[in-house]
Amino acid sequence: MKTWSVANQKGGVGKTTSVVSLGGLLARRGHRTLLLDMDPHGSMSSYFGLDPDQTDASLYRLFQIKQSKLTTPPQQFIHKTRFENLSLLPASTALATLDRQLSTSDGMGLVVKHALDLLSTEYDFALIDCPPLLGVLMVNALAACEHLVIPVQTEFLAVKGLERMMQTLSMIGRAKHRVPEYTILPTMFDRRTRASVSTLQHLKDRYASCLWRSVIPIDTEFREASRTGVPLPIRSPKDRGSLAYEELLNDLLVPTAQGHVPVAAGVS
Amino acid sequence: MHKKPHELHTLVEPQQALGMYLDALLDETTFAVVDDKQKRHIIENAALEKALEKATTLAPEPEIEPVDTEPEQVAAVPQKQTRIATPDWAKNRFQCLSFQVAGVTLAAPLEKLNGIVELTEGITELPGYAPWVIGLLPNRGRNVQVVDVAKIIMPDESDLVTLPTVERMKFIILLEDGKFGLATDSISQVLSLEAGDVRWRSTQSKRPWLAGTVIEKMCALLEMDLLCEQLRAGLRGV
Repeated sequence: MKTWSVANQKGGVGKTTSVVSLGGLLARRGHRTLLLDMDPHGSMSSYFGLDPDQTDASLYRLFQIKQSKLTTPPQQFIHKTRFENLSLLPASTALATLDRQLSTSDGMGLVVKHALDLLSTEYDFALIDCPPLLGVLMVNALAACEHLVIPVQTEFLAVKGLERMMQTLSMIGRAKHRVPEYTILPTMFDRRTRASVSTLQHLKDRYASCLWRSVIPIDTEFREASRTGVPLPIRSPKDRGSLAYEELLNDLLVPTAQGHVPVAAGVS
Repeated sequence: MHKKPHELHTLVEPQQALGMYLDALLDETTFAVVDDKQKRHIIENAALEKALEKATTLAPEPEIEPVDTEPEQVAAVPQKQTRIATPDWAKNRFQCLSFQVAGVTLAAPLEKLNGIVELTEGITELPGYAPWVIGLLPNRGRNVQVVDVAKIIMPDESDLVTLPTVERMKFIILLEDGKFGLATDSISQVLSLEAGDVRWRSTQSKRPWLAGTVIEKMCALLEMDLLCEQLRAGLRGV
């Protein structure tokens, strides 16, 4: 099973849209795909019709089980979506309390990694939607994944959020813990606006070695897909947003000869 | 590696704080090695665990608590048995009594039961005994040790065990020639089963007294011999 996390320490940059779109594409291609909603806001859970305030079988239970030293299988917290090959381990609002509850509980950053180990034969891909802040949930997502996708809205404030995220990764590395390979994903790009164009140029100047070679365009169809609860690549496969995520997925699946996702630095 | 936060008395420098935080969260040593066999065991038991979901997801590791048993009784406790195949009592079609305890449906093979007593009068409390021993019930010239099975299969902290035992229990199911009695909230029905109706569970698990799950009813089937063994030993399901 391949595990990818999608994270940024800024909200509203397209994390959930990226997870849902990549997940929808993988499922459509016949890959058994598990989506994990680690954001206490539960946007992705709501996308698929689950209320994070009411969902009892949720990701929160994984932490409860670990602390209680039980061997309850993670399978029983997984919900099937109405889409073939697409399952969801939903969020619960109680996830927001974990940092307070687990402040002295060692090893709690590896709960999701170990749960995914137990599911490794049942799914081909696990995609994790992270909360927009550093804490036990984000540490779990980073420890569990092989590859990290960092969506960045192509506007100035989002770049500030990216800097915080890069600083976090750097600090994790300095603390001598494994840092996953990562790809910066420019999102909501609107070539008609100066902000988008100049921000993308800034990203190319500063992060060329890990910036994805293309962009996810702004597309109102993402909003419509969210309203109907259908991932855009399933709802409208030929839509330009779908095609952009398809291109991203291809790059994530087939890295370059150097083993990296194609980046801006490698494109003329 | 950094000092753990609880060993410190003052706030540390930001980088050190983050280092300590990450060291603690990413401490691999708190995870027991899960080998393939254990993984298979966990996956195979998914259905059974689901049947007891409410009881188990909130359950902390039970503590061993000795009960005031006579020394010769403890000495007589046999070695722990282990089983993977169908138990002897389930080789042919067998009958089970299903009953309710604190919202959970359990079942026990009829041939291992010694009778049912409707509770019409109080039970003599036994101070100093394990918390799951409710007290003594006089029955046919002997005293039955009445056990709160909810406190054995579920943690004290579980929100399922909110109603005090004395308010819940309506019947006592007699075991072991009347030596022990299980306090139950209600008696449901007698089930006629075959071995294939049950998803059997290894007795090498943490709860050897759980024989398996009655698949159609999604209720837990108790292994009475091992439950009685643990009752005699004064344990709470290690």
